[in-house]
Amino acid sequence: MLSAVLRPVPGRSLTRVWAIAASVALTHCAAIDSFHAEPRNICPGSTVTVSWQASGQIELTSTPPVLPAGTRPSTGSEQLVLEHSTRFVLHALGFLSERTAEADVTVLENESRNFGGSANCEKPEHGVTRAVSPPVSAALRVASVTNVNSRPIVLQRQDVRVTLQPGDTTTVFAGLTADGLWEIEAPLVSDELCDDALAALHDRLFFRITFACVS
Amino acid sequence: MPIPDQLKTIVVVMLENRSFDHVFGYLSLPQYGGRTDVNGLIDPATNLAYANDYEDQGYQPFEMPDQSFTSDMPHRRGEVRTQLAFRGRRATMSGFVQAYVDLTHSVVENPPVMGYLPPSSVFMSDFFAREYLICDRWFAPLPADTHPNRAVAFSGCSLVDDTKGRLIPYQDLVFEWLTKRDVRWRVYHPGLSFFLLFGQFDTPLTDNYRDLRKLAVDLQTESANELPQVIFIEPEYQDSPVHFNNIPNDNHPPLAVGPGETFLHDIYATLSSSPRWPHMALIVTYDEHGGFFDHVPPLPIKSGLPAKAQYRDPFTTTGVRVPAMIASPFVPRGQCSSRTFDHTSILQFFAESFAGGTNKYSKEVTARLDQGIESLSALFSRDARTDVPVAPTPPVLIAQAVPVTPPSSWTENQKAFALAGQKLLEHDARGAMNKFPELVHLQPLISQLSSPQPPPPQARRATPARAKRGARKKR
Repeated sequence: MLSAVLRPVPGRSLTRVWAIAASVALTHCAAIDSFHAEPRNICPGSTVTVSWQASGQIELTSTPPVLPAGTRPSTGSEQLVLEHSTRFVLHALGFLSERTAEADVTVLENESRNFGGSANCEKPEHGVTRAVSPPVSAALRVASVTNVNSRPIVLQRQDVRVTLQPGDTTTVFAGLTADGLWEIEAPLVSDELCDDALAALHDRLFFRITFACVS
Repeated sequence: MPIPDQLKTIVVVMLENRSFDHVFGYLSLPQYGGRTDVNGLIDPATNLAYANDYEDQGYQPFEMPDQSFTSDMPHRRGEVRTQLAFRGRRATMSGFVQAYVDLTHSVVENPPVMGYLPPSSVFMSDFFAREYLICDRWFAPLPADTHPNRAVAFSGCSLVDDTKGRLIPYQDLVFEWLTKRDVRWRVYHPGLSFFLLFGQFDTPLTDNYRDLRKLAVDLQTESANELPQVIFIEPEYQDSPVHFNNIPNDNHPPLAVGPGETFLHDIYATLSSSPRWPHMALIVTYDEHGGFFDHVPPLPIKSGLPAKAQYRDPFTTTGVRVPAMIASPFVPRGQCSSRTFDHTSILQFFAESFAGGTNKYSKEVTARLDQGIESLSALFSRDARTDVPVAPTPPVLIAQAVPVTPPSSWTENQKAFALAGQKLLEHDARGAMNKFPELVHLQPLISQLSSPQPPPPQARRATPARAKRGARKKR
């Protein structure tokens, strides 16, 4: 195996070094330990950092193409300014093995997304609760917020606190950045056990943000 | 329930790695007929009961055309635990995206584990749903991956709780059970048989194992007294490391389902056009959910630890819901059963058919019966239908149109297949090559792999050279 790896490569010495390096990489298993493109949700013109840690022969591509083609080191990061939603693909190639990971960055101007997740009864006096930190760029601003749950919620962001009935949309958070801490509470009705409320909510609390970008 | 006297042959097909909602969730959607008798997906884009989250962002089920994937989906025992996301005793089914990211390091807008297929992608499953009977409460028996679930399916219990590149510890399989009761059975396989992985190599070399291409002629020429009472039809497994001019069609990701649907089409066309069809039942199900979202929590079925189990934590629930279809003259048209089944329902059905009672298979199967798992006999009517619905023509070259992703690296199950093939060759090379000609491709692959990536310890122990060296040492 080693003799095949170190076979002479015609051309300049630099080419030969790269060929040997690539061959050595291909004798090991491919692995991807981490791959991130952050922030995941952005405004047009936001800066995004793509970072990875992997082994094997590494290639990073994107759709649409916003990156220079070619192999990459096993650990690295690159910063890019994106105007459009973009999918990054990290490909690690090893000997008889390959791994692929994908990361989407989405332009959310005038778009909506749900944020939240599994809720809890850790503060039963407040009902069912959930703290949420949306994974969004600081450039994204709130246009409006909607209660997508089947019950009323109390939503707090910084000093703004509002009660929303199911399906209600509010603009009281308009202009605030969306990143940072939001707190959702679903108050209990009289004599209701928190766990019953949690079950009625399918153990989840979410809210929907419609985004705007400041030009 | 009494089993119809005229039901003479039970055919079982077990595909790989899709959840009920992934394959049949569309049946409840208004744009696809909005069947109210099926527990499928209701308002999937907005129904928070289905919402998964990753890093505080919500993900809903979405319609996804058939496609191959960049990787397998998470479905090992620990990964399924993440997917079920228990809150106390409640499985919230909210961790499928988390498990997907943990395994693949992919964070995408539409994680494929949340995808459900439209009827055009599952044209044959859709045909079964319209023309025959499906079950919307059939669960994989264990919240784990292939080896444990197939072990339960074909023996009633599992000695392992994971899928690894080793042989599955041998236990009596359904074939021994059937043989002891003088029940005629047969396995039809297009390629390597999964049953080789149990490490018992004499039976797979007998005439009970036949090339799938012989099925049609057997059905046409064998008399009622010759034709098996139980037939297992295997797909070409994605995890088989070698293929002999067959494309994988077991629906195991990263494979698309197009080839698997075409496989089902061919099986149904073969069975339903045979003179034996008036006496047959075709049962199609999946070994487990393969990592795809389903909204129905698993059942609290305790499995207990079998003697010689190679794991310590007994299973306390079933796995995730899987698709299940029955095509037979003895089932009604276009119905959905919500009775409670898992793979041992098939074994109960055998026990009822050939031993006189649902509790006559094994104590493990009876334990599941006692906890609510039913026999399939409840699905069959004594009165046979006389119509034979014609299978739809496969959409234009679906198998070819959907790219088949070759395995990018050896999975644990592929290592197990390779090991089983290697041991079978050592056991009886001539018989093995006669029965499984694709083994001709195996030895070069193993040699190629053995330099940079040594095969698992069992495989190294199994090589003839090592066996000879061991024998010399003993002397």
